[in-house]
Amino acid sequence: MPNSTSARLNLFLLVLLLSLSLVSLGIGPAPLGLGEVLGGLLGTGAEEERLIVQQIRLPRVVLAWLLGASLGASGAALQGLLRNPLAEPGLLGISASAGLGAVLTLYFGLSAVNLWTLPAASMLFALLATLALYGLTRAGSSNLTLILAGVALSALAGALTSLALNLAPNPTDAQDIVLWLLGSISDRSFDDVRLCLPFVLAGIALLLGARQALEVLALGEAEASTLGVDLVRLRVLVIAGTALSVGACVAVTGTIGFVGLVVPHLLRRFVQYRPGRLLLPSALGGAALVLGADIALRLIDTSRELMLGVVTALVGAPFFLALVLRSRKDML
Amino acid sequence: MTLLEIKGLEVELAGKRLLRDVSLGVRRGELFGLIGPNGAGKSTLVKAIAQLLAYRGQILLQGRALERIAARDRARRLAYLSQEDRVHWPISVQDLVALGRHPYRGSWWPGGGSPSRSDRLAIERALEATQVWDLRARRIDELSGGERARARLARLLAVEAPLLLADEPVAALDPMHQLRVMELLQAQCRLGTTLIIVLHDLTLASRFCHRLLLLHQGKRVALGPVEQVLTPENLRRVYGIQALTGVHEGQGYILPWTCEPSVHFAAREGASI
Repeated sequence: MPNSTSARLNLFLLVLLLSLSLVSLGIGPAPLGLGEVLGGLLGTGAEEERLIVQQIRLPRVVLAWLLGASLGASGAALQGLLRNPLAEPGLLGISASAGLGAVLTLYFGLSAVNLWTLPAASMLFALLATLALYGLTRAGSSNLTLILAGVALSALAGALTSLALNLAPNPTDAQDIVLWLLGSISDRSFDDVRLCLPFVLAGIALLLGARQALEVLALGEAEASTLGVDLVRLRVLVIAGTALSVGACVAVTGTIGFVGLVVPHLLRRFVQYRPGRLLLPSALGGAALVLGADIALRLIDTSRELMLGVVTALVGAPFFLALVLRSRKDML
Repeated sequence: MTLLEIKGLEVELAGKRLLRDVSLGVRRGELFGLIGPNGAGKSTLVKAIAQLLAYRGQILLQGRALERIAARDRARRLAYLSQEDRVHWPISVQDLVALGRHPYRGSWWPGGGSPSRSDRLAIERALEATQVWDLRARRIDELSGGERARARLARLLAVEAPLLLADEPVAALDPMHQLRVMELLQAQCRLGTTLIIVLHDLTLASRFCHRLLLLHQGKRVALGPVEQVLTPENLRRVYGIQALTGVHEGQGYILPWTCEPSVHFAAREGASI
């Protein structure tokens, strides 16, 4: 039965995620074995192991979970809402807009005013971007319109971010801004996790609340509405959920693209193409993908550590290109 | 007994009046056809009944104003099949039909659980009635046009609402599938369901519908049994055509035959009515 395959998929992804988490806690300048990792995690190991695992490596793992789950779930939810498999927070400029919000607070020195200014600005800009996209593409528009709207929005956010970079008064500010462009989860502490955790959890809860309605939306807005789906509530859930989760993550990690595109696409067939059923696996799969990419970039021997956003873009962009080639007939 | 009553219905969209003072009553167990040329307001009328458009006037279901019935409750009393022959994701036929049970599912998180026994039975009945039982595990994008039309119809039937609305359910089908779908709808009526369908094909309308409403430029031209609506005068005036009429197996039918150029032109200009 579909029900149990869906449960099996979620279980598989959860096990994968936990295994990757243990690997991620083990690798680094001081490699730790499984026993040492578990000892450090549970507080039964040596003081040094506890410090490395709990204070240095665990925040990175938790951030990877939050970021991947946000991008995966919001990608799947946006695809369901817009009934378009190419919708994704990165590609549509939602992440870039959230990044712009963060950069602007940095540039104008507002981030020093209050700890929460930066995530609040990120979420606000993500919300504005999502609303703009929805407004531009709602009337059953084609893939082409959606992508063009996304490209325009990304370009605008990118241009304004570059402007801030260009005018940045000193090199340190410029470096901070570059970070938002590239995206990374290294050298983060639990303070960073705390900054985004409540919003990410609230956002993902909103997205999951849209599951049933997204299923029915496969029939189109008119039929879904006559089946009792509250379209306004559905839109609010998806748009607010995306803005909260993606906006809060970007405030801490910078913009990281393509996760929301790749993950739902890979998992869709395993949930029999049901848009609502796709949400939870996409959250788990997104977390696993981000964590996997983060492990990979730490294992690759480069003179300077690669940035996570660079790695996901290197993998995601060709994937997107392949998807475009495959659906080219449909798009034009 | 009247199931649905419409009084003085007016619909205006972007400054254009699409329906003007339309009144009608639909009886329980009736197969009621909406006919009229392109742009007559047939789809608009169905959408207004389905509460998809803002309107003035009254639409009463069993004496209760439809817009005052809560959405979920209304969804159990009235089911709607749109003209758009499209399902947006390649889900299976079974999953598609199961969407018809949405009005009966709990709204609480996480997703209303698995379908109840009555849901499963309703889904099975719908799959069997539309003869798509054998296709239930197939993906909707792998079906032929006729199979997809029946699968979408099964989704409509699965709601098990007393009133079904279907906007051109046979428009894109070949004659065999047209007849098959119409016979399915007829069978549903015999079971007590009331159906309002938009039809373009006058022969099918005359063959299957109990009563017809003929619309033209948003206004009601005729309402009643087939032979009172599809009169030579109405056909000439509204459609600008002449039709053959006949009786076969005790039932009247009509067959559009030629257009009347002068009248057709006048009708297009909106001068003759």
